[in-house]
Amino acid sequence: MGLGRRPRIVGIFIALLMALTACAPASTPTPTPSASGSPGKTAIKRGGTVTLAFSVDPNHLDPHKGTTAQNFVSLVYDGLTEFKTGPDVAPGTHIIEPALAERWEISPDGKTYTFFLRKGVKFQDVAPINGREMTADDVAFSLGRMLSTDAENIKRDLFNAITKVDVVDTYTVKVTLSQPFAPLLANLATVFASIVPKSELNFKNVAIGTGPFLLKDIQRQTKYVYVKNPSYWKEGADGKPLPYLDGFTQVIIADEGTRTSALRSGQIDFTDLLVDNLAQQILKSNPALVDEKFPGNFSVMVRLNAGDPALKDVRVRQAISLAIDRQAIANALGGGTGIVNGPIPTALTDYAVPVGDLANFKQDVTKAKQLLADAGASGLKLTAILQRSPQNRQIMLEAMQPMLKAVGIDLQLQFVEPAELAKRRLERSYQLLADNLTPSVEPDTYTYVEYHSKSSGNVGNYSDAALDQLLEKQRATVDAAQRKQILRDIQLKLAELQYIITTGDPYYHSIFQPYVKGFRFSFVNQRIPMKYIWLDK
Amino acid sequence: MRSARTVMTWLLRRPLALISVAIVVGLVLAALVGPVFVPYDPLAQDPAVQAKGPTAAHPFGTDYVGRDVLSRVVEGARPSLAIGLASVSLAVVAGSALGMISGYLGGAVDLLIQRLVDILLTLPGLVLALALLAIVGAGSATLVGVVAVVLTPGIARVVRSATLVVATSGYVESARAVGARDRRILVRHIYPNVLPTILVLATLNIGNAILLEAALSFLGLGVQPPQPSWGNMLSGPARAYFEVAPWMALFPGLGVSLAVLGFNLVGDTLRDAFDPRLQRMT
Repeated sequence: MGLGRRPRIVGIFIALLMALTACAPASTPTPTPSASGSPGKTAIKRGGTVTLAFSVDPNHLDPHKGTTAQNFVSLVYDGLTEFKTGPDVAPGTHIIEPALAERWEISPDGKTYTFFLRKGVKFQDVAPINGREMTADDVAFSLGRMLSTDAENIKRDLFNAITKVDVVDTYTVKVTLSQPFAPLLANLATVFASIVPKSELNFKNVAIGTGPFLLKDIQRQTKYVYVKNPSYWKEGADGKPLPYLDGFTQVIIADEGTRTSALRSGQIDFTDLLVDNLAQQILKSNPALVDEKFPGNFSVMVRLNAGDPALKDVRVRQAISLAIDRQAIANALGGGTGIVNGPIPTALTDYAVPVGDLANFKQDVTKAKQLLADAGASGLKLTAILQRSPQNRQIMLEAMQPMLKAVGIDLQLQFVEPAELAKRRLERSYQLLADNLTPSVEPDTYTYVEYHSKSSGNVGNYSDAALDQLLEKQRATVDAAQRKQILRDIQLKLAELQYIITTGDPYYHSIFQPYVKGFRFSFVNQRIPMKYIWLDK
Repeated sequence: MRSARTVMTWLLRRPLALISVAIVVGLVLAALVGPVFVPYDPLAQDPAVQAKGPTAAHPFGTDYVGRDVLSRVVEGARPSLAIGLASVSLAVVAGSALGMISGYLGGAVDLLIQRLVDILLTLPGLVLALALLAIVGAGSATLVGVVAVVLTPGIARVVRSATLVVATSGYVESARAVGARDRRILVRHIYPNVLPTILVLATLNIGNAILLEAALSFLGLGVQPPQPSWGNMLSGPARAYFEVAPWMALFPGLGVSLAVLGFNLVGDTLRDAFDPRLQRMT
């Protein structure tokens, strides 16, 4: 009866393998480097390379075309401004520092910015740019790309107050705005405002900037190799140009379990964005590793499509918000600990309204049922689309399912491929879409960009005249205290409207080997402060 | 066939067979009545105990949203076994019919069916299943159909070989000589004689079907969350938690292994039981 025995044994083996799926080859214990010397004033050592791991291969490298490569190109490029990093900067706040612009002048009406460029800054010595000097022409060229209206440029709204860019002389650029625009200097510090050399290069595939590292080798889906830019303009603490490292390598490891194994076994020196309880466990078994903990500013959320007949009614959206226990969801995201977020993440301490002050944020099942009954939406069936990775979307939605069931809403999950998700988001063809907000330190990103009826970032058919007015006013108000007040009103309004059901964020950890020194905390979309890292070994 | 008592005596002489039958009966019982006895609702979440290890209250621990893993593993047995049994039943009916017709009739019919089987057999099962599911869409019902399509060609091929042996035997020749029609010969003479082969094939394929279901659910194309199945309990967030909370994936994984092992051993036992040469040796 020609049935071999082997296939079945193979089958059993596969079953076992699946049980052990996330388990990478058994990790060997990390050889602990000799106990580090006296803390604090160690002389900075130069040289060496480090390896980092990231979970996803970026779509492309062009910072002006909606790249997902923020963590990859941010070290190749500089902006006119940058966010200050260091021990004296509290997480969630931001201080703007000069970068390629040495200084700037703002006209009294707040509508004209004159940027005076740093002289003698050279692009990286890579063909065909070959280390030529960065000038006002390059800045004007880059700003032009940031403002381009092609469909790929989904970050245009970060800069759309700019109406005119004039090259005054080789080192001076004048930027004219349609109205005063409070977020401008912060938005210019993001990766999306990188200054690229004026050329015909296809920046999706090549990255040549003025930044501290140059991208030497790209192996898609595998690794990105960077080496030191020897002519970087910024000086280190030892009076010589940054960076301290000779280079670094970013490897792509999709699986979180494999990534942590790699850290334990010393294959990688640094890993970012580890969820709280995973990090705790790693630290427990590898106490020598160094840990930096910070609250996330991603805000894992479900986008409701206000154009969908079932979700048009604000009462239905409020009912969804009232049905859920956000703290429980946030805890699930972090594996036991988490922070609840309003429209602006709690991590942005300067701007976030305490969740207790927001309407519809405290779970109230009776009120949710009442609202659904009033709206005539009993037995509501909703479908949420999500992608498999990152897994926090699935955790959030699975945690929501029984909570929504309790008020009579049947929530179905539909997994889709990332490309399809992106397409359906742009086409607004979904009911619910699980996502996270674009992380930022500038509140405009969490408000105007997401919700203004005319914003390119509004992908949920959100439209409310009173809200639009507040959003515009917030942008045009340069006075910090006044702007904060308007942002508070916006958040209260958004809590009423519940277009996006923000849930929360876990605490994240950056964990690195003990010889990695000089780490500085920074949120995603700022330039990761790799240029200050040095190795004590 | 033997009486129940001889079956018992026969089984008792083969401890492995006894264990395998015990595993299968246990799993089927768990799937049928287990959900009544489990300590918790497999969908109920307790935020107070997210990702906690085994305790007296939760012997298999809890998952990332605080659901009881034991209750979910028991509940997960149901879709795994149901999809396994349903798809194998379909595959066995289709595969046996195709195999017997192909082997008995021969000629152009045989050629056509066997080339179709060849084409399907050249594709790895999982790849074929993925391609089919991409066309018909994920879900429990489509999963049964797709797994059946994947298993059918293998069964058809083996049943055809068995049919070829039977078709040339003396009693078939004589049935034909007395003028029996094809349908009668197939039903009265061929079918009873290839039935042991079919039964063994069916049992062995249940293991394959469960494995395939688990693999497809693992890839997100089978049973959809929050409904638990062994495959989808292994995938998703449980993977990220594997290092810190291995119980989330370990127990459903053990379920798959146990089911596959159990059904394969039962298949082996059946083969031994039907094989006259082995019988003489005992």
